[in-house]
Amino acid sequence: MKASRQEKEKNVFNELDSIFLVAHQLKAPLAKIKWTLRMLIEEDLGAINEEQKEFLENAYQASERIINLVNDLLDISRISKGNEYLDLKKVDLLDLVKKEVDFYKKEGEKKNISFIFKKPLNKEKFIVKIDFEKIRIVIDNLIRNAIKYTPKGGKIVISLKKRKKEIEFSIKDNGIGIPQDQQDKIFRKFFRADNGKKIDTTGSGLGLYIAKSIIEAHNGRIWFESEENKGTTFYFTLPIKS
Amino acid sequence: MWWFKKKKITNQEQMFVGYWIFDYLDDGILVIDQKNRVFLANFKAAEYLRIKKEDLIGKSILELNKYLNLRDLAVLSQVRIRKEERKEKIKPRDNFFLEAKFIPLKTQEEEVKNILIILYDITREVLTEKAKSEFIRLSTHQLWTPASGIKWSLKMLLNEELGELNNKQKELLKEIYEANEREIKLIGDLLTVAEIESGNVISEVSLLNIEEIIQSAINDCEKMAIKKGVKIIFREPKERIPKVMVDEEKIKMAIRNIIDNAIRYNKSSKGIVEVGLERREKEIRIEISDNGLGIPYEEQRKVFSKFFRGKNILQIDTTGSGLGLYIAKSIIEAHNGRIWFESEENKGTTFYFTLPIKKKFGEFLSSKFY
Amino acid sequence: MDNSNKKILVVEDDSFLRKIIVKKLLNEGYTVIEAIDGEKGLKMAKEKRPDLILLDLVLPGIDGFEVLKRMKNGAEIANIPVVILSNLGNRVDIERGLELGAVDFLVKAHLAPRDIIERIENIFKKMENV
Repeated sequence: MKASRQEKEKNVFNELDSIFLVAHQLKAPLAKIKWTLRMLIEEDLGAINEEQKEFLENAYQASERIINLVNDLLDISRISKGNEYLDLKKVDLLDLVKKEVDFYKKEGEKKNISFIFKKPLNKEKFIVKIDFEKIRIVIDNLIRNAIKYTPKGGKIVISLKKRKKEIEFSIKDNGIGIPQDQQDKIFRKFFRADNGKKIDTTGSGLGLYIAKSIIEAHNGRIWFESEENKGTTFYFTLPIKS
Repeated sequence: MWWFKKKKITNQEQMFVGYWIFDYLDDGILVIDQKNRVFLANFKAAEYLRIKKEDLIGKSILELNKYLNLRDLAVLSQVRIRKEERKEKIKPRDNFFLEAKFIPLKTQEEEVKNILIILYDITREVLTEKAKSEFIRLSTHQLWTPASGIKWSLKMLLNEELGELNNKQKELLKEIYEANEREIKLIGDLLTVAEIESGNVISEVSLLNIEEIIQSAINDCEKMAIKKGVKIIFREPKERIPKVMVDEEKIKMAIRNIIDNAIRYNKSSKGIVEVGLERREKEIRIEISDNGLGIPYEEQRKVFSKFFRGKNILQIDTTGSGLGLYIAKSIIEAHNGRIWFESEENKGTTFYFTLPIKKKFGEFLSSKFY
Repeated sequence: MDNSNKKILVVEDDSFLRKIIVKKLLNEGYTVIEAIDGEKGLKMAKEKRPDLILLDLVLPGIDGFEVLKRMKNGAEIANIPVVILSNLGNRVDIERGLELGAVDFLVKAHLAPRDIIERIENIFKKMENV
């Protein structure tokens, strides 16, 4: 009795497969739509007036939104299948974070945002047993969010701390922050704070939900502190292999 | 542990241990007598009903139903009369769901006096299912919203409501408009598939005239048929066809999907799709045949699987989603019908499906519904 | 057709879609007011007394069904015709919407902007004939 019920529960996630298979199928036509719109906007095929441009731009952003959603749904599918089968390997988190910072520094430069990586002065290593790809998704999400919601000339500070039983990662920005009355919903599926939506219409609202799922699957914690118009700091911890 | 010292375990001791097992089982157990009164109950049953075990004994099921919340107590008499097991899903209170299994206990003379009721806690499954449906609902909304935005803005641009456009611009806009339409259809199919997979294939059934539903489905496909140069013929049935208990929207979808396929698999010369229906003893049978490309023998066993599209069709028509037949099969089988086909490459294909005639289906429904 | 005396309230949280509907309505000569969620929609309905309301179902905060319920309970605005404009087009939602008093139910992804205008014109025509 119990065995078949457990089987049923596992299958509940498999049934979500269709949504993910379709998400895959959507990628090609979406790319075509996006690319074509770009061409029209850049007047490659002829002049367009202001209003036409506005509507085409909005359609372009809408197609980006679908693409982002599709990618995030695919991430979720990988996670929900993978939570039972995390591909755990020993990784030096310091190394991973350094690589990520180097990669996103260029993105930040476009907006004149300075990136500071506060690593500890001693040469200690930050070895953790994690699913490399998935933790990378989390760090990607947090850094991209920080860049998105920080205005030009802003500052992003990333730091890694080692404690007795865990490692703590934090990323602090001086951006738009999260309004007090919306903070309890931040990790919910599809939720996007109002001030965030104004800046970027293409986000899917799934990034933090995905990040939380991954961190909790690793037995870590994820939380944040934020004040509107002052900035936000996101933290997550990962247990040191016991 | 004193009984291990003895060499043999007596019957009495077996019964004693048996009773302990019964009492502490992780599922709720009730045994009721001919008068529907509880004469045995275990701790779990008491916990599920939120009554003390002692208070359960001797009470009638009718009295207890305010804690149990069985939809229809007639199930008890049905179990006795038919001498068959029955299952019912119950919601005793908010956020708490049980599956109750009613098992007739037969005497030596094959009579049913007592009924064994086993209660399984299925709350977790039910809530997970609900969360999943909600997620699917939200995801499709999130996908459809920008897709609608693209559709509308492209429409307005194409109609030159925002300004003039040259021919090249219009041509490209038309192309992406079509691509977006296919996207929208794909998202719609996705929602249907997700509903099917969460067990919600049929929502509402009524007694209907299947000929009207078929005609309506044919009308929906007319536009595409004309575009592809295919003629749809509906062969009127020779005799009166009784009404069937169906979910109109879903059966129409199933028929539409099969006809849609028949049109797509058409050869370049004049294609014909013929729809026929006839009454058989306990069911009605519908036939949809075409004289198109047929399905290659090696691929026939994959036809009803998700996203399957024949290699021969992919070269001609890239826009089908591959979900149509999977959806049609799920719908027909949820109505307790059967679906199958015969096909020969380059000659054509005939799809058959059946729907049970009312009486049988009514029984089938009552045993499946929540 | 002079529609400038007709005021339409659009309750839709997606800014892109809202922009397109509003533009289309303005092009047809209607006067348009907008709300980005259910609560603001109710407030605008009471304050501005539109002649027709276009209402989405999936909204932040209270959803479209709740908004519809409250509108039909609020005496002064109960008679304003409400057209549901949603992406969720399954039968259960449609029936619920009509039961709660919506005068029409349109599925966004299946219609072009012109279709919406036609439905609105039909509703206004019917009202004039009554």
